[in-house]
Amino acid sequence: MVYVYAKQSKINEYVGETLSVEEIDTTLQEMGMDMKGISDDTDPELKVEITAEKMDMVSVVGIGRAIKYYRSLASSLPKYSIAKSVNKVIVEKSVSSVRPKTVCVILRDVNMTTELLDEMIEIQEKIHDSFGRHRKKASIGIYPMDDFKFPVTFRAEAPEEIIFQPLDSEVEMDASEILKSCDTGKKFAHLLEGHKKYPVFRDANSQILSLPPVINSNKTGRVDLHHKDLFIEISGFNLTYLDNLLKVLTTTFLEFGCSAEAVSVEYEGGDTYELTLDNSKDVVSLDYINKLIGINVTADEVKKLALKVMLEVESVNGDDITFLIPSYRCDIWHDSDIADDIARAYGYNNIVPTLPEIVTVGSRLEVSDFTKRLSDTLVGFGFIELYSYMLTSIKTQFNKIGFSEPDKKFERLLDSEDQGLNMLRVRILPEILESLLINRKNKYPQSVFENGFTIQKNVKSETGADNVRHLCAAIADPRTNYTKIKGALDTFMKLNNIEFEIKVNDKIPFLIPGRSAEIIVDGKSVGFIGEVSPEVLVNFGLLVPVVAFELVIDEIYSIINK
Amino acid sequence: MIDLKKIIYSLHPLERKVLPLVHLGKISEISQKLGLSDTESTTGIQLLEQKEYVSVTKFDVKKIVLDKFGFAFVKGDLPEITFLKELLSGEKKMSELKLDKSLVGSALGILKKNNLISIRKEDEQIFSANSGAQKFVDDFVNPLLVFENGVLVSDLSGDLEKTYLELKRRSGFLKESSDKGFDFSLTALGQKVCYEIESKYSDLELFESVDSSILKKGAFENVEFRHYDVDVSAGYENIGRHHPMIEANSILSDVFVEMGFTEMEGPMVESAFWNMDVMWTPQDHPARDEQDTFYLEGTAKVPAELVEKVRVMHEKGLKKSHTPVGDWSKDITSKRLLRTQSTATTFRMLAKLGEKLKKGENIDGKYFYVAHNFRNEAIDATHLAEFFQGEGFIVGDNLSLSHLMGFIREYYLKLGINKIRFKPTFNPYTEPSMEAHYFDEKMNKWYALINSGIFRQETLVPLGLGGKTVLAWGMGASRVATLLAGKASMRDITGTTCDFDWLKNRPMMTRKIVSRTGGKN
Repeated sequence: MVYVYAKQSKINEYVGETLSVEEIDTTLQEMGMDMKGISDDTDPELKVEITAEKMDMVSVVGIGRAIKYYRSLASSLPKYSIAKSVNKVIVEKSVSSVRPKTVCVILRDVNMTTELLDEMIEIQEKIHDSFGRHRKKASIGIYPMDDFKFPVTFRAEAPEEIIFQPLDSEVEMDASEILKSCDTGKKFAHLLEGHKKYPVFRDANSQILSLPPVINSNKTGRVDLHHKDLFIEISGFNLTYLDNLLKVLTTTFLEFGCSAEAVSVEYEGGDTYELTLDNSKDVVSLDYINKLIGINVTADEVKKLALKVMLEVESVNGDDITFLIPSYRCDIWHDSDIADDIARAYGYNNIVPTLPEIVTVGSRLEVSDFTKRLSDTLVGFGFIELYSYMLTSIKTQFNKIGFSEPDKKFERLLDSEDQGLNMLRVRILPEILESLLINRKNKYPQSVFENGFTIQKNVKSETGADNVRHLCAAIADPRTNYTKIKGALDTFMKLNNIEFEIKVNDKIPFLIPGRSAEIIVDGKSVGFIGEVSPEVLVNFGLLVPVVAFELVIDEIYSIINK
Repeated sequence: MIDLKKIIYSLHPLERKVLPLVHLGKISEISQKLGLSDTESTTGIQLLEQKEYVSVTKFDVKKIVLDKFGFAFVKGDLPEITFLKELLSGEKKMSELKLDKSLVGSALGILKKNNLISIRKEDEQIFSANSGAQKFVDDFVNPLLVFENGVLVSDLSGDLEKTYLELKRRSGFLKESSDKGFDFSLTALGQKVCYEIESKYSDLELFESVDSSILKKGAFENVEFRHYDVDVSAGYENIGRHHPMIEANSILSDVFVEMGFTEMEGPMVESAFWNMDVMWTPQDHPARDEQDTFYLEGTAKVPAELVEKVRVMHEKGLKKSHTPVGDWSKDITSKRLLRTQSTATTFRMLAKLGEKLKKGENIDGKYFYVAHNFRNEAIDATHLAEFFQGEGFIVGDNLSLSHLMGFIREYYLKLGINKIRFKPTFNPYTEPSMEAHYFDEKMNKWYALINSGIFRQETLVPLGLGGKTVLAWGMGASRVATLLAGKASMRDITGTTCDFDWLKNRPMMTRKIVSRTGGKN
């Protein structure tokens, strides 16, 4: 998601029609965008949310252009022409390991105003932050033609050789210093980290233009109001991606009334790149469109609809429709994208919802039914079901229940935005004890249970861990003891037809020795039962005895279904 | 018209005993006559008061009375006062004193110290009162006499108050006492009831419970039971309940099953391959950042053959496509993580269906999964690191966006949600991509319900499902749960901080199935 802030009047200027905020909002919704906020002004600023594929709409002028077409205010696709420039950019092999690709264009006769300059910088920053992935994937440099001489060379050099006055600085320094001391340098230093040589643009006189993707030179890379001709480069890694961005950027700037020249970018080794703004073509079947969307439109109707979403039908040959796709429509990847655009033009809410005609018999998984039955049994006993989270802490799962070291393998989170969470639970009892603390002011007895998932490491499984269902039931009451929970377990197992044995185990660290045991089904240990030891109760801040059992439900399920 | 008979039949046995004796006016007397304890009689009076047959007036009278010292002073129990009073009627020889001789010594000391008496010695000691003695008695003893029977605090004023304040300065002379209690008498209604009992029902025998002795009798014409207040509030049952989140998930699953869907499940610990790559989500997609995904240690096993096909799709795209394809690394695809979307499980199922299709089986079908998902974000009112998604897909031929809309509309109608609208959106792995929003009448706002779409051929071709249509969605199940539970946020209903009383006493969750209104189908 990208947010673009746009004044209502500015949008209307580019649309060429006076629209109310509601009309803009509705149109945006139908196009698949959203208005997420609005300032409280007579000429309000709208916060417009642009979806991640719509490169051509991350500017106010781009939004205006799209609305203009969607509201059928244009009769043909916009025509953007580009001339050939005599100027060249040479890309040396040395950049291949640090920032291998660049694409360039020249803008002529820009009628520069303060407002326009601001808007151009805003577009540049928007692209940096979104499609440029904060300059990592792509970064844009803009330079006035007056201050340097072609041909420009893109090469990699040792940091100490790159000496220039960075933008907004009074003094010259070398690249290492820039990355250490300038604000912008510090912010983007990580993008060049680990490289022995840094990329640099130099002009015919060896003057430095910029250190991409970090900063321009103050002498050659500062655009002012009196500049009419601009040189633009985008540097990065993937040529197709950079080409798409340059097409979007150039056609956006052409909306401001300037002209464009394609710079020949010559890669050492023979490849050349030159920007073109030609429409591309795609042949899509009308039947495919109608079937995918569930509508029934004719080729003539498609013609009208196409223009609303900035596509043009060039020709119709039987069922085949040839679409012209403007160069900046980088969101059109395949046939389904064209079909979807026709649907947007048709209006999603004009499509008739129809139930699919596939007849099937539905069912839940047997294990889901089994699990639900177990919960139903306990609800019948008067137990309240709880639902706590699987994300929890080592402190709760191990330390507070008497393990100084974890007693088993568990999934640790490598990094968590929430400081309190660092693992996935391996048992449920500790989470129930936390709930009992929160509810200590409520009436006793408190009989509760949780039937949910734990995550258990398993080297044999494909992803190294399994979802394992556990069920834990507990009673907290000043007068409770082992017999109460044993009674619950006996009844629970009897009602669910699970034969089990009790095996004395005085070594379960969170239970009182002599009042604790393992639960055995078919010779396998599938859980524990007992009275929670006073140390553990105190660790959880509880002043009331707690008795509990916990069962590994998946284990029991697989045994009884053998 | 008051139904006196009904009233009398409804009287508790204790009430019936106490009522005719209320006129005695004193608890102790009632107790004595009935052979009850005072507590029992008081309970009887209180019960009758609740029914308004008796009116009770509570009183709390505050009085100033003599304290232990003052009491001794007035009663003359203090040896020095007895001694002094004797001397005021004329001097006395030791032998003439009425005061016990053993007490003379201690009395003498105090009186002499205060210069109230003089001692002469002839053949024996002779005691006489000094001139100040009478005044001492007048100043102290006499004023104390006023309080002998107690003085109401409310009566303290003028000279009396002055005297009180004077005496109060010395501790042990006076104290405040409180006389609490209650008076009671029959109300007009009580009198009527009382009269009725005495005149008509003095021999009435009512049974309290159906016990075996009654049952054995076999004849019940003369067996009458005390009438109860049938509207009485009896407190609430201590009951067991399912958790609202689980209950809501059950409802969501039920609706899927009703619509012919089969449940699936899959691992929560996933590989980046199944969580993202297989869905053709570029490896440098922002959603894959650590802020959004919980990564785990180690590497997962991935299906080599399929991974290879997916890699080719990432790097080359489909024939005739304009895809800005990206570079692709095997290290990234085997990273372990907590699934951010149960779509991972959908793709595992699609891969299985692809295998079946190869064998020529019919794979058309509908699948669902109400599943846990995880997102690495700081927990607050609206964001939970752990949440449920109602995952599902329909696979077949010739399925369309209008079918997806048809499913969505029908599904939510079954949950009582009928005002929805559709909006195009973008997902890397679906095209068309669509959201549905519902209108919340209470909040007067549109909320997103579901993110859905038709899987791109780029995602289906590597699975051997090229040419099939798959309608798929992930719905915010947590949102529906909070809606059904009538709460504002997920945090109110899940986690260890949930209130047991609310869990127990919350209203039953209801599924309002609404009929289609304004539908076009």
